[in-house]
Amino acid sequence: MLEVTDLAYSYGARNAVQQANFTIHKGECLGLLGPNGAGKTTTISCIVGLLGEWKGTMTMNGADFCPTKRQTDRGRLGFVPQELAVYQNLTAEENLHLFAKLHGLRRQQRQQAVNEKLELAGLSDRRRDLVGTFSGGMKRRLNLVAGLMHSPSLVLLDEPTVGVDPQSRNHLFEMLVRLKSEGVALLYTTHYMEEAQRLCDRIAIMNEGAVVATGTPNELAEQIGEPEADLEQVFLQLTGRSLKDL
Amino acid sequence: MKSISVAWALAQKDLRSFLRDRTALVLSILVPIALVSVFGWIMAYAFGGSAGMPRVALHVADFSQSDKSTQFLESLKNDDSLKIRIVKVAKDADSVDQGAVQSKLEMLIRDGDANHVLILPSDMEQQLIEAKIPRLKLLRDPGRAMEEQVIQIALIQTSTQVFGEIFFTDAMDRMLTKQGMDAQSIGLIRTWMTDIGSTMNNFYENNNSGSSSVAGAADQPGNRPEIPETQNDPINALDHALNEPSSSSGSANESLLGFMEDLMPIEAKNISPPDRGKQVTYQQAQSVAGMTVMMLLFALTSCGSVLLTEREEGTLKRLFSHPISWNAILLGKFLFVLIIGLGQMAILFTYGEWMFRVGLFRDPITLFVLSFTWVVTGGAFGMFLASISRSSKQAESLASLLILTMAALGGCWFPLQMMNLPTLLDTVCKSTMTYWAMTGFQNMLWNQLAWHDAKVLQALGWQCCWAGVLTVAAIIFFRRNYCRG
Repeated sequence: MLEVTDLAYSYGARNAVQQANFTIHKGECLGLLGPNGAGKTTTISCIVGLLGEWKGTMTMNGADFCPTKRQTDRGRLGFVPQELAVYQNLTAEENLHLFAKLHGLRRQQRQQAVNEKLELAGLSDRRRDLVGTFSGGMKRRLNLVAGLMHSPSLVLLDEPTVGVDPQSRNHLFEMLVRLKSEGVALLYTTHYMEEAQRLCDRIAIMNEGAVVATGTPNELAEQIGEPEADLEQVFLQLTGRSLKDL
Repeated sequence: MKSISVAWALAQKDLRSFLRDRTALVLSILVPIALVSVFGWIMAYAFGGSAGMPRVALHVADFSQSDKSTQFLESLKNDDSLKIRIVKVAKDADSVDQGAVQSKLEMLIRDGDANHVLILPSDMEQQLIEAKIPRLKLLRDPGRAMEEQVIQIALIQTSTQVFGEIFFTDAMDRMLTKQGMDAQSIGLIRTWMTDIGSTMNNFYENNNSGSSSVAGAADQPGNRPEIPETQNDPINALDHALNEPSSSSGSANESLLGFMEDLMPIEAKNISPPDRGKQVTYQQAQSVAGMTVMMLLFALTSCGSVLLTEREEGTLKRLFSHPISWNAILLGKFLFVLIIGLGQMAILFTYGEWMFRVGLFRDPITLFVLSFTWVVTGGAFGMFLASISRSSKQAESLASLLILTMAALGGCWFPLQMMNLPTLLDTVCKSTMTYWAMTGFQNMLWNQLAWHDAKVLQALGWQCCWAGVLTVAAIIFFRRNYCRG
């Protein structure tokens, strides 16, 4: 579905991403796993079109894909940023209506999408409440469905579970599993091993801006020569035990 | 002791944090320095300073064009309180249609090009030859009473120098007549004043020649000029004339003005646009326009900083991920600023009109055109600030610095027309967008000019230039600082 080849991006002299290669297939969840500062968010930002002048190539379903330059390409993606990117002074319904409208949905489609996504997030009974009055978990759920208003075939999620309690996290996972089952491809960045283990079909481990290994958890364990190793051991083996924060 | 130690540790933490925020540090030093400099600079010209009191502009039309009128004009020019501007009148004054010329002079005031025009009559020299005080004519804007007092004083001084003794006798006659004294009593007072003058002369002459003082001689009954007991006792009448305030005067200023008008033989004519409210003063119009222009700039700037808030909260990132253009996002913010700005203006003007009756809604089209233009300009300024700032805190500090400076320079706080600004400062003031906003609103409020008048169009044009430049700059910086793509 989406193929990223030799993706590279620099913030001035610092190379944030260098020669990142991976592919995401339909209905698959690819986990982008890496320590803080590994280049996960930069990679997602390049794909979403938030950053320009990146190097490399991207194709979607075989065709050239450049969301930085083409609005239509941006419209094919769903994006869930790490921040709670919803308007606190609007109601849940108003937020979703806005994002649906920005994706060009007509009134009737919009209303249907809003109802569906509120249902998916379990927020139907709070639809007319201001987001500012929501708990952290509710805001996270709303943040997630706000990126799904136009029913994209590929959704990019940048650490969507940061600061969420186990119940809400579980609810979020259920939502993502449901999306996968509907054929939606997911690119999921995280540094939580258990999340990646539970949700992702394949994992791309990033380190210092490069994708150092890709595969299922079992394949990755075999790659390091320890078939019994769990994901954390694989991760530490591939990225080293020293701190990576830049 | 422990509390003090904790407090000191917390203070140290805040100090470190403050000192490491270089922008806040620079602005905290720069803002007060800039404001002190600008206000110090401006105020030096606002209320005197080394250059003395600001000069009041007086336009003079010399219909006489005689030696005496020239002498009068030269004397006026030498007065430090006045800035004389000569209105050219044809050499052959007799051939001039004085009525038509006066209409043009009145138009000068009505259009706000002049506040006071002094007309020296064509028979000025002839009147003086006949030992009469020529009746000067002053066309005036009634809302400029403060400046008129300065003009009256200067005219009295000039008249004293040019007309000599005749000025005082004439002034006394008029004042006593006004107080209801009959001609006979006035004649007696004149005689008495002449006698006092003679006595004083004798005193000085005797003193200078070394003879005994005649002091007290006037107190002796025989030396005092005989004044008959009349029904209108001239001494009391004189005392009354000089000490009793005019019953028509309502305030200290009006009283002083009335007294000076009595003293100075000037035929004054009030010229003001027909629709201007009678109770409106120039200061009121200045305040309403000045505060509106300045406060709206603050409001629009704070609306513009919504961009920064969105960036800080991450919602801007989400907007960028949608299939919409960046320009549409910027335009959306600009529209928001415009709507808020127009709403605020409507509220401010409605309240201002209700409170001060300055005639804001007399010409709603002009009011709308001026308001809309200023909201667009102020909105562009707000967007520009938001596009160059890194955080909303930085934008707030920059806004305070720039808005207060521009408000002072643009005349929002005190009228620049009353200052004698040096060329450099005058140019600086005229280069601010607040100056042109003030000019537009003042022309509408005070001079009752419509939006299509050349002066208002000029003010609108300069604001549009500012709006254009700021919008382009905002787009460039927005793309550079917000859209890495």
